[in-house]
Amino acid sequence: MDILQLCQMACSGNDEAFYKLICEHKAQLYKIAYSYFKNEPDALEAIQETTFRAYKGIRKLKEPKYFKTWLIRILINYCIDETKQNKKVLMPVENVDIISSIDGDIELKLLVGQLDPKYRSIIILKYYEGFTLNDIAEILEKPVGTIKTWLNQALKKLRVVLAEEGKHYA
Amino acid sequence: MHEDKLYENGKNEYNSIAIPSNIDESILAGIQKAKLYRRKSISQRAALLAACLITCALITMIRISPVFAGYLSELPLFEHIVKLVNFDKGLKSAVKNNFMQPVGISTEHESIKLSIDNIIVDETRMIIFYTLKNNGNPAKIRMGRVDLLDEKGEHLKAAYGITHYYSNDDSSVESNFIDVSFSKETTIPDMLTIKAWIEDVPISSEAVSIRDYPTPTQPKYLASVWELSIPIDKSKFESMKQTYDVYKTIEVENQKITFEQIIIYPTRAAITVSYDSRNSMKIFNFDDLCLIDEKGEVWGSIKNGISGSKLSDNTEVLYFESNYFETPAELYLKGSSMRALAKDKLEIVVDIVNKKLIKAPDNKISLSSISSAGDSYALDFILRKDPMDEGFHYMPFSSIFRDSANETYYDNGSSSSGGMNDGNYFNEITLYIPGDKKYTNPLIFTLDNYPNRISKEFFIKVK
Repeated sequence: MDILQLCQMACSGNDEAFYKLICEHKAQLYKIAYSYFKNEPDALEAIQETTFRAYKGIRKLKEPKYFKTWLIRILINYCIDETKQNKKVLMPVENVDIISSIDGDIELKLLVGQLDPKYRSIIILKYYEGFTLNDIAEILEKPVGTIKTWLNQALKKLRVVLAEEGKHYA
Repeated sequence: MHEDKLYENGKNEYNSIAIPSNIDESILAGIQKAKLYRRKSISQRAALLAACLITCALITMIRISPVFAGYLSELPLFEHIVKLVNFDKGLKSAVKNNFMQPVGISTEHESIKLSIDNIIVDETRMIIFYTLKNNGNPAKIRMGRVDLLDEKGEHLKAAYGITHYYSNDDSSVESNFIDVSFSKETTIPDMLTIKAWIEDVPISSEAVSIRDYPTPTQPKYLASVWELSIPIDKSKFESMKQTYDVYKTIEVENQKITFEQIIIYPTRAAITVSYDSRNSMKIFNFDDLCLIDEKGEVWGSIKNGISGSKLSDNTEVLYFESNYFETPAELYLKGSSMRALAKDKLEIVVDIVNKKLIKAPDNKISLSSISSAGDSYALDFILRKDPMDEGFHYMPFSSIFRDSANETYYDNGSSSSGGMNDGNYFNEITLYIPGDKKYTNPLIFTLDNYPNRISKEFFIKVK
């Protein structure tokens, strides 16, 4: 059975199809969630909450083919809300120093971890998940122009951080 | 350090994030939580609906206390259905005995979603539970016309209807059911297609009188057709019936009535009754006929749905609540009173020019006015009822009538509303007849029901 069929069944209230569909996307969901929270319990909590919200809302999903986009939107909205409330996920700058000095390399994940949630979403979706800017605009429900601006700003911020790090460790 | 390299590193790191083995538990927990949440919201709607039923039946004014509403919200899902079929203990029992087939499919047009949630079906009747949810259409909606089709797209040979409950509550959700009565000609399909036209009911929320609702001739439907196909698992009710041959004749005020056979299906009990063709009166209805067991448990007639069907001029099948799942040790038929009228008094003759009643059975009925109503003429009657008819609305006229040239016509529907005056209960009955016909005055209407009674207590052993 293909994804679209599963989506249609899930939309019309078939629990088994819904479960299969979430399982189909679970790795992707988990990785995105983990990128935000950097720990397993919070990432799993995000999976549960996303499943909950998706099940509740699936009757409102008009086009089954947008299921994936819609699901990731739910997840990212949750992650952004949670990280706003819970600053612990933001890496303190000291940690960057420690790890980078050990590896002798600066890992982008840590830098991305310091970005605003909305910038972080864009970097994760674009560079890690390989979504196009149009997909990202769909997921975040923003015009493509806004996404382009945010990406640009996110990259600028990363460059600033990189530049500063570069100054230190050059 | 090159930027792309950085992304590459980050990406590798990202891709190597390990998926924990217990992730499926989190997914299942999320579904479970959502189901609990959904049950809660459905039960709250059930509480609302129960409140509407009570208000609309005008039995009594009950305010649902927060405690009671809270209690309802804790009930499991099927209690919602039980609330819907609360008036029929046989259907309630069918639900409790897991005789319901879950469906769970839906379709949405014009921001209105039609879901078929469950069906209860056996070889004599089918109850289709549906939910209409208005997700933002400005219309005040209700289920309008419904077509039931078999696999070949042909109309199901069955009678069906929906009982609507009006309320002042501006709820965007209608949870209700289609009651389908099968007959001998019905072939139950394996796949049933339901085509629904949703009605826009242009009424103000203050409307309480039946007069404020459109007459049956002028419904306004939304443009879309909501169409769904549902499977019917016939193996689930195969040979599910209990048949009792009774063949007992009673005599009430010289009228002979024979109870022939009782078949008890899960959804209803069917009692075949025949009337002696030499009877001087026509028997309209039994007031209190019921099935009763050795413990005094009673199963009454089906009030909110199809209550009977005619097999021939003198034979009919009456439908009662089912005790299929209870299987009492002993069973009896019990009754004492019936509505009946002399066969030579069954006609009401109306002079539509002088707006007068020329012939009526007695002075219980009077003609109050004849007026023009859209494409119809509205004939207003007042019918004085017996005290025991307090909550009953008489629809006394057969839908076929004729004029003095012996031309036959169909009416455009009728309505009945109740009231009380000087201690007398009465119904105001409006009969709509086509306004574009050249009638030969006067018109002759036939009575199908009338507040005239004969009585005698009887008690018949069924098993």
